[in-house]
Amino acid sequence: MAKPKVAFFDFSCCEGCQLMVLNCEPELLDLLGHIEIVNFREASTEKRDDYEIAFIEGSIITPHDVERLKAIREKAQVLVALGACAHTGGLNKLRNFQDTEEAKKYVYGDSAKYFEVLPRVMSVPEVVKTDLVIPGCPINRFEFLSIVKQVLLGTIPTLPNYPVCVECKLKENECLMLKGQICLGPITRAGCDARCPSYGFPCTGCRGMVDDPHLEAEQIILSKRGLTVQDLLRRYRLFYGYSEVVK
Amino acid sequence: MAKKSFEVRVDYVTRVEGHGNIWVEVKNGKLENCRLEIVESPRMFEAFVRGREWWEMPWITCRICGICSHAHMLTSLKAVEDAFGVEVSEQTKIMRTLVDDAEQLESHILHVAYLVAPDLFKAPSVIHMAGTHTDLIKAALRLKRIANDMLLILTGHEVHAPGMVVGGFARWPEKKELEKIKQMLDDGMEDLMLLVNVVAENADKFPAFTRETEYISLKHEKEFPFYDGKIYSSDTKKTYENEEYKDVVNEYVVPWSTCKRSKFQRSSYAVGALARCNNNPELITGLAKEVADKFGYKAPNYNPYFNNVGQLIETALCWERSKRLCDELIERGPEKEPPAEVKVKEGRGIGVTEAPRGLLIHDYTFNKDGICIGANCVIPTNQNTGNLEDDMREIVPWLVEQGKSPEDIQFYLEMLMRAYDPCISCSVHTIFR
Repeated sequence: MAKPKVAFFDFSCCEGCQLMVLNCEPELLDLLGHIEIVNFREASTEKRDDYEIAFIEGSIITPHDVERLKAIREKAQVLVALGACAHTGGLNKLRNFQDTEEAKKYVYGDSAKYFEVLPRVMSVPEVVKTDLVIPGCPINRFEFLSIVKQVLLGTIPTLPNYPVCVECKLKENECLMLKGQICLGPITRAGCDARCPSYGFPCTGCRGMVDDPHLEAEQIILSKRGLTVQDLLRRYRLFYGYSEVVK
Repeated sequence: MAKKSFEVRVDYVTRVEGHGNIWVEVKNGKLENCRLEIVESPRMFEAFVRGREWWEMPWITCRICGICSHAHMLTSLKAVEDAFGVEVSEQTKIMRTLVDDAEQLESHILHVAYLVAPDLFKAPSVIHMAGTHTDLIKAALRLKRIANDMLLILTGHEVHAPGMVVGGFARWPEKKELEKIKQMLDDGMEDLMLLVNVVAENADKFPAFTRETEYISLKHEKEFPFYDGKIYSSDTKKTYENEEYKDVVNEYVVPWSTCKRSKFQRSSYAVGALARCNNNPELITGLAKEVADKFGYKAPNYNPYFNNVGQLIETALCWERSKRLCDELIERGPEKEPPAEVKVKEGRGIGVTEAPRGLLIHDYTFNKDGICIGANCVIPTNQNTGNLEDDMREIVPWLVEQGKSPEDIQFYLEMLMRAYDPCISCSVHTIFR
């Protein structure tokens, strides 16, 4: 059987998710035994357009990004949003809570006119049909490998639909909420193996919310910690900028 | 010989971080146009951090770059701590120096082995080299894993790590974890020397092009400066306080680039590994000196391609120093000390470090509640692009003189751009005031 042809494309982001793919050092050579990478600008000079699976990293920020993404969609049989910026718009969406023209002027001053951007930062699913998503800022490389494996086997990967708390409890971590910290673990989708709380840093929601989050319960707990609605919104906007909840 | 006319146009140069184009036009043997275009989409970090809380600043700004995430985080931590007058412990400083070294290792190994080595062997990528240079690639994969495992242990993740917080660390490593790091570094020595030797054996493939320029980096009396030091210029031979950084970086904008540029004493200056080595030659000792000697490196070196050699010298330096820093931490316990106390107040703070690609500056202003109301980040690549374009302007006639074909010229231009290890995603977040 011919190896499936795979391409990686980066849009606006830090390229940390592609880096996490390259960070699969022990598995990289095995992975390359099962797929053929035909386009991966960050790692290779080769650029071919005969890919079947396209991984898209980054948010959609300029009109040119929209055109480029649509062209990729036409060629790819399977399109995967890789990481938070592609999946939900990630923290790039913080810009959507500011006036675009003012933000541009703040960063580029009089030169702002040279740079054309969309009025809103968009995620990949907002622009084209997206077959699969791999959440996280950055992705969990083990989840990435597992999803690739499932795609190669022809099964449809599913994401955990339970909160980070489940993984955190399984690791027997002391609950940061009980230590007085503000943690978004109870409403954030698991799959990161509770990366941050395990290092004593509360979850900030980079993987997006579970499908049916207990928002009211979270709000009650956090307001008991003295958080105002505005504080809560600020926390949610960091990585939940895609959601109606924060608008 | 007839005077040649040709154009070199590369859209989206590969094997660099971020999006950049090269455009060169030669008419009748004379260079007419020469541009390095940065076409990264602007994300506008400085605009959208306004309104965010102080403790989030490192957590948000590390997302400027995946490759130098820890460097952004360290710089941001220093800026926030400067704003509120937070003094961190000696143990925190040692641990941060170790974290910084680990990231330099990861970034330099990635760059030299994955992005530069294919040029030395005219391969399209490291993936293509897996079959032809298997030993080298396997060694590089192991080396990179060691650096990544160091970061995993020290800060909780390879990219955008949760372990570092304002005032110190959210979690301290156990003694046995530090012993493990030392063991990994010892085990990796053979692989490290293999990488160094392969590049040294092929060093003749770096063009012998030189152009004297100004080098700006941190300078330090005792420790090779990544985490700590003072801004220094090779032209003025003076150091500058953090507060004076705007007088040094002098940012400006050109229409063909979303990335701002910098100049100080000349039309442009260089930052990065070569700048650091050229400005701190007396601190290149031990294994680092051995590596420098293999390449015949002597400060000052004006060959921009030698930035890759500088990266290998620093790799050796960090490899050795990391073991010493682990010992220093083990001697201290390390004590599981909580982060230093933060008393929020109105004010401005500046943090300066050396990211793998060069001098990095974060500058924040906070209101009395610790909400960010102004931010400015000066990124290595935006300081380097002017210098790189000046190099291009001089190397093209130099290559034409030697009768090189347009294809060769394109190859050497791409290789030159890679030598700078540009980190373009980073570069577009600068502010103009």
